[in-house]
This record gives sequence, structure tokens and C-alpha cells, in this order.
Amino acid sequence: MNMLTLPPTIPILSLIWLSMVLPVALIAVVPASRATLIRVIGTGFALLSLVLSVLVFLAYDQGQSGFQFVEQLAWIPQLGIAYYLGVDGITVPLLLLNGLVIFTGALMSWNIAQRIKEYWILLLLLTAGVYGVFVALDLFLLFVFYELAVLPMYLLIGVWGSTRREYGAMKLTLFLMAGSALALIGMLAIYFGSGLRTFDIPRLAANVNFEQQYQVLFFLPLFIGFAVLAGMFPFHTWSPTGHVAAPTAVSMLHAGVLMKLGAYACLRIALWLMPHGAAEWLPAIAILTIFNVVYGATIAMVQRDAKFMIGYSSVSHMGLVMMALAAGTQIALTGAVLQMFAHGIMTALFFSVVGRMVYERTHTRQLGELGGLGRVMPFAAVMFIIAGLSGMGMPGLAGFWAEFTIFIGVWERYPLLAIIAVISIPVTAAYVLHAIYRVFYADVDSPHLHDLPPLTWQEITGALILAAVLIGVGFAPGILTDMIAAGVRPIAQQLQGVGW
Amino acid sequence: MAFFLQLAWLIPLLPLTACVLITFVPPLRRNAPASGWLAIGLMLLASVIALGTLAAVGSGLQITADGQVTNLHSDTAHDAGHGEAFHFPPANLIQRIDWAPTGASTFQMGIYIDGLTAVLLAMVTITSTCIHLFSFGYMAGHPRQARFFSFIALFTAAMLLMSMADNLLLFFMAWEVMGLCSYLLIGFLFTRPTAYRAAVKAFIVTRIGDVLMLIGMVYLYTRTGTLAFGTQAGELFDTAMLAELAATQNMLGMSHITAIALLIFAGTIGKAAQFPLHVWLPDAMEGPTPVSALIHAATMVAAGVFLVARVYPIFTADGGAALQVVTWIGAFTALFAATIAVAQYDIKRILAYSTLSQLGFMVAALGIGGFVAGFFHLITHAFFKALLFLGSGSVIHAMEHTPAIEHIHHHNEYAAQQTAQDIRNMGGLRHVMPYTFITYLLGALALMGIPPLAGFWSKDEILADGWKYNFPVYIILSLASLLTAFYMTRQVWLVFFGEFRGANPLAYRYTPKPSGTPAVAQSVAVEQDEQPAQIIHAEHAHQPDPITYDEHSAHGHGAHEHADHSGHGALPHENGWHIVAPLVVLAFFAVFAGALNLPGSHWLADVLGQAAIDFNILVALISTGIAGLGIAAGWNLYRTAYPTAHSSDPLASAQPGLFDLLHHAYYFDRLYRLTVVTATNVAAALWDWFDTMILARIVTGIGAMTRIIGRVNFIADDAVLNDGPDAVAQGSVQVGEQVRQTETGKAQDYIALLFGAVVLLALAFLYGFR
Repeated sequence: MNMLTLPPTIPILSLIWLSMVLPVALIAVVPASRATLIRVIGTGFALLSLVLSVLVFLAYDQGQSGFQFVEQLAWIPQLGIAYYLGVDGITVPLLLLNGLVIFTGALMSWNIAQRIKEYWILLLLLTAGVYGVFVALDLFLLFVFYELAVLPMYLLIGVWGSTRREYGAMKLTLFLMAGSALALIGMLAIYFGSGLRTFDIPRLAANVNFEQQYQVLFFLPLFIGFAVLAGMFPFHTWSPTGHVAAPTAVSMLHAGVLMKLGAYACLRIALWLMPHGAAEWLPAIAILTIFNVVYGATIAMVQRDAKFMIGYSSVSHMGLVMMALAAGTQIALTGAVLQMFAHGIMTALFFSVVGRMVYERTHTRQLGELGGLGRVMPFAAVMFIIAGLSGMGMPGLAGFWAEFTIFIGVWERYPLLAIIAVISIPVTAAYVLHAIYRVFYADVDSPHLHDLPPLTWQEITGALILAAVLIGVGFAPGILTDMIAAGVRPIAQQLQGVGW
Repeated sequence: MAFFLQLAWLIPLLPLTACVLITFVPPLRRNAPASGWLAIGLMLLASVIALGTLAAVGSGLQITADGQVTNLHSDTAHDAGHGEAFHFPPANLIQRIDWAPTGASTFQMGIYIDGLTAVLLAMVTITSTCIHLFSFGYMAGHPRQARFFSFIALFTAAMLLMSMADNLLLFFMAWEVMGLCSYLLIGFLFTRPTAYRAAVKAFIVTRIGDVLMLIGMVYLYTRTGTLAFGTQAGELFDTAMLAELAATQNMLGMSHITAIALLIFAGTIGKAAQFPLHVWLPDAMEGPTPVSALIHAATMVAAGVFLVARVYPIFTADGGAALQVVTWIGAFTALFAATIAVAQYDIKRILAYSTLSQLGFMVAALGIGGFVAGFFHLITHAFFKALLFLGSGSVIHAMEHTPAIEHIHHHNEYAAQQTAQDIRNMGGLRHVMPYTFITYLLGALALMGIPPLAGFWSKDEILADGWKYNFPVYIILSLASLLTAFYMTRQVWLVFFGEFRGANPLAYRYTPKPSGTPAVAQSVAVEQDEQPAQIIHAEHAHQPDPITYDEHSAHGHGAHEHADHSGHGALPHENGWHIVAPLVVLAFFAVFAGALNLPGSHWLADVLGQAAIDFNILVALISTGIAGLGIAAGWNLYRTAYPTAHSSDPLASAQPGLFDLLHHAYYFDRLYRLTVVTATNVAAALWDWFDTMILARIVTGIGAMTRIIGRVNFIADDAVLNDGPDAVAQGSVQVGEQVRQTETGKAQDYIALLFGAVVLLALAFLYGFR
């Protein structure tokens, strides 16, 4: 079932995350005055990581269950810590997502001129962390990568950001650190509670029937700790301010991939390794996610800053992911992972248009000041519309399949919540159409729109790639859903096994 | 003919090809005539295949899964359906491929062709081809004409795909794409704020219905595990499965199938603009006239009615509970909209409310069990309503080129268009636009239900069903018919008869909305309807401003002197063949489409696999009498009512309050704006406030508290833990040297330290959040 075979001797998963560390060393020795060289190195290696991810995607054998491309080395055997990597149907699409977002994000970063070395180093380190989380099968290793992905964010926003960047960076860091701390408690609880004294995720997953009360007690910090990064209500407030403050590529990575780390960890660790705890808490969590979905969408509707609107739309869309996780059936989980992918690509496209193409030229993101941009930048308008249509679940784009699958999955478990959640669909349509109109078509004679420089090839290439993926998955969702469904099956069965 | 059936999958693909080529081939995109001819040519080809398919289906050809061609008419299955009750006929063609979107089970997509689909395909392709050709003339010279063709081609493709979808999900996807196209086309002239607002309104209002329909689909899928059309086991219309769903109740005490049917019907309420989601359709005529024709006849609204027909077994499964709702929504809309149409001045708005009313007829017919009658009316109505809209477009096009309106056009394009569409400014056009007049008259008579035109046969069949199954509905629909004849007579008379009044028109003025209103108010504005020009409209109806018009009238009269000779004078004149030819074709169908299901032949009922209802001569006589009465009343009232454009309407003089209420469509737009839209905005604003003021404050507070704790800790640390341990540390360095020997000990130490610190921090945060 795989489309190509890789020689088993190549440690491809290690190569993927190392392909983001290697250029860090290279960039470190290049003088800062060689700006173009630094950009070429960063973008080139981002492309390399994307290519490797695509190779993994093509070589992944869909007919086979379980983890593939496994690499296992003892690290600290006394503590049960190992360098243990592998991918399954959940992480292959997410690797692909990360590769797409970092490559397009690198293309959108060519305009960064200040402290250029540091910027690229941090950006690549962050990405290395994200790749690491997706491939790690050892809890400890996963946590190390997780922290590596979260920490550079503070500097990236604080130094290269825009609107209220110190505030945004600090708020984001505080929240994420608190989340990490909570999650760590939960992970330690698994480590000790299971009695296995190992961080080996598949092994832990095979022995989840340790004391139920214990699981009920520690599931919540574990889940909430990761859910903070996924932007779950009421711990979401860092997300819009962070998105707005961040430079474009960081917004893209942040909303596009980083928030998925939280959801992914909830799925991989909390749901899989503590099913008894999950069975106890998921209904309560499902109710919280309703706020994300509906509340986030309505708040997006009243935003005047386009980036804030996208930030709240992320809260709403990630809420759908979390709601699907809280439903915990196979269809719901499939929808959740597909939505992670679809939302990641969509929001990266949104930020490319608003943060890079529009803001860098007009220096405003106020919806009311941007009317008539469609005439000046028709390409940006089309890209924004494609992203918006995917966000509002238009058939033919990736978002439709994700949302449809989620609604089916959630309905199986919580019909009422599914009904409430669909309110977000017309509301999303309203704010997206409103923004499209205000930004691109309203006839405002704005001084911001005079003599704009043309789009660069990097911007056009990046946006086209993202749009093509949205459309491609929209027309042939099967290329991802089969894989994802196989990947989430063990987790859904785990939950079923405890009577969920 | 099986050949055509085999090619049926090409039908939606042809207009889609036109759309893709026009969009992605730049030379084509820049050449409007070439893109127009491409779209028209491919539509013609699609029409040929659709007609061939209809012929094949009509003669009972079936292509089985293994590619064999058989004849259904020789089957016994075909005759089994000739009872009174609805019976789901076998498909003539099913082609499916694996799609697998949900992962859990293999999902298939494909095409499904039976009589219902085949008839609809023929209707859609014919009307859409006419509309394409019409657009060629009507939109000539528009800078984005090529894009216009690509949009209407996509719209048509989506409608065709929806007609032949083999499952509800594909149906829904095409349905949504149609929603998108309606948005793009209604807002095509997006530089006008009203057009854009109407587009958003259409999209959002229909989306409310779509969302409920989506819930219904999800509900259905989780209950049955399938969305595929067909009566086999594992398909939607499996009788045993439907019976089971009808027997079990959900938590609301309703049977599952009733709940599902009603949710799906919400989709129809949105798309077919039934009460209470009817508010988008009248505004949808902000789009260029061919778009109105497309939406009101061939695509959107037809899709809404077709949905009920397509999944009819779901509606009938519960023994009539769901159909009761369908019936009364339809019947109410039929009468409600007809009353509004009486009090409109805009030629397209009258037609729009008439569409609402006629859709009510169809929906009510489906509700009372008149499956064939409802669908029959859908087909005939599509022909004559497309004709009427294109005819009105022809009239408007001509009006826009009269000097008085061109003069207004210099000041404001939008005001000029409003002026050109006001029937009070027309009159006497039968002399100057003979083709438009004749065809329009035929369309209007068909709509009124005058025998032997198409509308008579289909409407009569609905009324006969009502007479037989549901007498109150019969009464309501008869009243609506009376009003239909009345308002159409009023319209035709004011447009085509009497003297031309447009030389001294009742002109509109357009005042743009003040800019700089805050975002909340603007999002209200997006959904609001009360267009600025319309408000002025109402004011002008009672107090025209003579000073402003003196200039116009002088100009108009001056030009009138040359009118008879130059052809470019004050009077409008007939349009070119691109505009006239489609009118003639559609007029042909408006006259003869009734032949599809004439009493005695029942060809349509046979194709649909249903029993035909007996012709009721009494009902036919009564309904003809009613139409005659409506015409007489309209003629009597409006014969001399408008000597000039500035006269007031006799109904408005007689009942100003009632007329105002009807003119503003019972103020439903204002009601929705004040309730739903305001509530949504207030909630959004409140939540935004909660998010920024409360949640953010809590966060800042926790941050501040942590800093305080940190300071306290630092003092404690510095005084107690630091100075003390410093001494200890000196000693422990030596111990450390020993510990370092065992590597594990060290690693454990560090990890314990790290973990300990983080746990403390975590506990602090946990405490803080509590």
C-alpha cells in the first residue's frame, strides 16, 4: 500500500528533526551581513524537511497498523528513558503539515531584516521541536521536544513581533509554561501510576488498567496542561494576543502547527494512556469546548483587526478539534486529526495574506481601512477567499471534510452539543464574508492603498502551495483520512475498552 | 439512446469545463465574447445530452451495474407503483466510485439517474442555455463579463451535479457550491453596497437552513450508516430501515425519521426561500437579471424543492407528520408572498415575490402527497419564470437607455437602475418592444394559470390534489392564485399598456451610508436589508420633488421630439437577438411544457413512476374562473390609475396602512434585524468584553500574584534557604565528588530537582486558577 520504499537503514525520522538543527549550526557561523545566504540556508533546509516528510508520507505503509520507521536507542535506561521514534497514521499527516507550514513560513520570512541570524535560528529550533514531538514515542523525549518548541516563541514574538509584543509574548509564555507544568504532573503520574517505570508510550498504552481513581485524579492536569496549548476555553486568551503580536511566519507556525501540538498530545498521551480518567472527564471537557466553538466564532465576528479575527477563528476551529477529542469515537478522532491538518494549512494561508502580503505593505490590519484592496491585490484576495471558504466548511476544500467528519463523530456521542456547535457555521460564514468585503471590496479611498509594492515570488509560491493543498485535500480527502482512521483506531479502541 | 444515458456524467462536467477554462486560461478570460461562446456551446452540448438522457429514461432504458442495457418498462417492478401512494421507482443508471472520506466505512460517490433526475436535467440545461445566451447580450460591455460566464457556468454545473448525486452528501456539497455561486453572483456588482449586502444576506440566510440540514444528515448518518440513495438494504430508502426509524422515538418524543425529515426540510426552507427564511430571495435580484433568472428558475430555488422530492421516502415514512409541516409552510408561503407582490413597484421584486408564492405551491403540493403535481409545477414554473425574469431584464435594459435615466446615470448608477426598474416609470412598451411584449405576456398568462398554457396544467394538478386530499390548503392556494392573476395583470398593464411615462420618471436618489460607524454597527449593516434607496423609494411615492424633475422632464420631452425617427429617443426600443431569441425559446416552453403531463397521456407521471391523478374538470373551471376574476380586477383598477409616473397607487390611496405593510413585506427584515441580528451582535460584543476585560484581567491578576509570591519566596530564599545552604553546599561539594562516581545517581538528582521545581510551580498555578 505504500507508494515508495525507503531503505530501512536510513533513520529518516531523526533526519527530519535534525534537518532543522543542522542549519542552525550553519547559520551561526555565517556573518549576519550575508542576509540572503542565511535566508537561502533556512528556506533550503525547510524545503528539505518538507521533502523528507513527503517521503515518509509516501513510504508509509497504510496496510500495516502500528508505528513505522521506528528508531530505538537506549538513552537513560535506568529511568526507562529511550530515544524512541516512530510514526503512525496520526503523525504522518501532521509531519506533512509541519513541513508545509515551515517551508511556506520560511518563504514569508524573507522580509525580516532585523537580527536576522537570531530570527532564523530560533525559527528553525522551534520547528525542530515540533517535528520532534510528532515523531517521539518516549514521553520524556516528547516533553523535551515540546519545551523546545514552546520556548523560542517568547523571543520570536518579543523581539520581532508587532502590536503589544511584550505583553503578547509574556502572556503566551506564562500560559504555556503553566500548561507544561500541569502536563508534566500528569506525565509523571503515568510514569509512577502505571508501575512500569518507563516512558515508552506504546508499552504504557498496552498497560492502561492501573488504578482508576488515580487516573481520574491525574487525567485533568494532564489534559488541561496540553489543552492550554490547543487554546481551550478558558485558557485560550493567550492565543489571539499571541497571534497578533507575532511576526507572520511565527503566527503561521504558531496557529498552524504549535496549537496542534497541544491537541496531539491530548490525543496521544491523555486519551491513550489514561482512558479511565478520560471516560470520567471527557463530558465535562466537551462542554467547555462548546464555548470555544461558538464563543470564539462570535467574538471573531466583532473584531476590527483582521489578525484578531483570525486568532479568534483559530480558537473556534481548534475548539472543534477539542470537541472531537472529547467525543472520542473513531470517526470523531479522525475528524479531529483532519481538522488539525485543514486548520493548520488554512490559518497559515490566512496569516500569509493578512500578516505578510497586506500588513507589510499597508501597515494596517484594520478591516475598516483596507477597503478596495481587491483591485490592488487580486491575488491576495483570491487566496484569502480560499482560506475563508475552507474555514467556513465549503465543499471542495479541506475544511469541509474535517468539519463534516467531526459533526458526525460528535453527534454519535453528544447530539445536543453537535447541534449547538453548528451555530458556529453560519457565524463563521458571516465574519469571513464580512472580512472579505471590508478588506477587499468595500469602496474606501484609503491612503494605505497607494503605491503598494508588488507581491514577491516567495509570497506567491508560498500561498499557492497552501491553497493547492487545501483544494487537493478538499477533492480527495481519502489520501489523508484512510491513514488517519487507521492511526486513531487503537486510541478509539482503548477508550471503548474502558466502557466509553 | 442508451448512448446518451452512458454519457450522462458529462452533463455537469461540460459547464464545469467552461468555468475552469475561462478562469484559468488568461486569453480566454480577457476575451469576453470567446468565453461567452465557449460557455454557450458547452451548455448546448449538455442540453443535447440531457435531452437524450431524458428520452432514454422516458423509454424505460436502464443500464445495470454490469453495463447491460435493459428496459424497465418490460419489468414487473414498473407496474407495481400504480397505486395512489408514492412509490420509489428504480434507477435507470447508477455509477459509483470509492471515496472514503469518513474513514470508518467506505464512502462511495457517484451519479444516480432516474425519471426525476432526467426531467430536471433537461429543464436546467435548457433554461440555463437560454440564460447564457441572454447574458451574452445583456452583460455585453461589462468589464468582467468573462468572469460572469464562468460563475454562471459553475452555478449550473453545481445544480446539475446536485440533480444527479447518488447520495445526500454529494448532494449537499453541490448544494453548498450553489450557495457560494449565489453569493458571488448576487454580489457581482459589488461596488454597490446593496448588492454586496444582498449577497451576504442570501448566503447567511440560506446557510441557516443548510446548517440544520447538515444536522439532519449527520443525524441520519449516525442512525443508518449510509447516505446513499436507493432502496436496497444499506441504502437510504430501504423500507424496513425507514419503518424502524419511524417506530423509534428520540428524546423529544418525535420519531427519529420525523425529526430527520424536518431538519432536512430546513434546507428546503432556506434554499427554496420558504417562510420564515424567505427574506433573502427578494433581495437576490440585486444581482444582474440573468442571475435572478438563474436563481429563481433553474437553480437555487428548484434545488430546494427538488430536495424534498429526492428524499421523499424519508418524508412519507412517518405516516404524514413531517409532511403536515411541509404542507402548511408551503401553503402559508404561497399566500403570504402573493399578498406582498401586490404592493411592489419594482418589476423584478414583483417577480421575486411571485417566485416565493409559486414555490409555496410546489412545497404544499409535495406536502399533501401531490408528488407529481409539485414536481410538474417546478418544471413549468422554471420555464415561465425564467422567461419573465429575462423579459424584465429586456425591459430594464431598454429603460436604462432612455435619456431620462441615462441622465440620472450620470449622477448615480444605482439610482438609475432603481428608476429603470420601477413599473410606474414604464408604460406603453408593447408598441416599441413587440417581441418582449408577446413573450412576456405569454409568460405572465402561464403564471396566472390561463389554459392551455403550461402553468395552467401544473397548477391545476396541484389544486386538484388539494381538492382531493386537503381542502383548506385548496382554499388557500386558490386565494393565492387569485392574487397572482391580480398582481401580474397590474404589472403587465403598467409596463406594456397605456402611455410611456418614463420621459418624466419618478427618480430615485441614492445617499451612501455614513462611513466610520463602529464594527458592531457594520456587521449589523451586513445583514440588514432596508436599503437606502428603498427608503427613499417610499418617501418618493408620496412626495415627489418637482424641482429636481423639471430638468429631467425638459430633457426627456426634448428628446421625445426625435423619438419616432432616430430610435434613440425618449422611448425605449427592442433589444438585439441575443436577448430576444432566448425569450422566444422559453416562451415556447411556457406555452407547451404543459404537454408533459396532459390529462390522458400522463407522460411525466409515467417517467416518475407514479400514478397519475384524474383530471378534475370542476377544479379546472373554478381555477380558470378565479384567474379571470383576478385579471378583471387588476385591469379595472389599473386601467387608468397611472396617467403619470407620479400618480399614487389606487390600493395605497384606499388602504395606506395595509399597503405600506405589504410594501415592506410585513417588515420581516426589520423584525429580524431587531431581534436575531441584534441579539447575535450583542452576544458577540458581550463575549468580546468578557474575554478582554474579565479573562484577561484574571490572567494579569494571576501574573501579579505570582510576582508577589515570587518576591516573598525570594526574601525567604535569600534569608533562610540561601545563606544556610551556602554553608552546607561547601560541605556537599565533597560529597558530590563521590556521588558523581555513580552516573545514575546524578541524573536522578537532576531530574528529581527539575521535576520537583516544576511540580511546585504547577501547584502554584493550580492554586491560582482555583
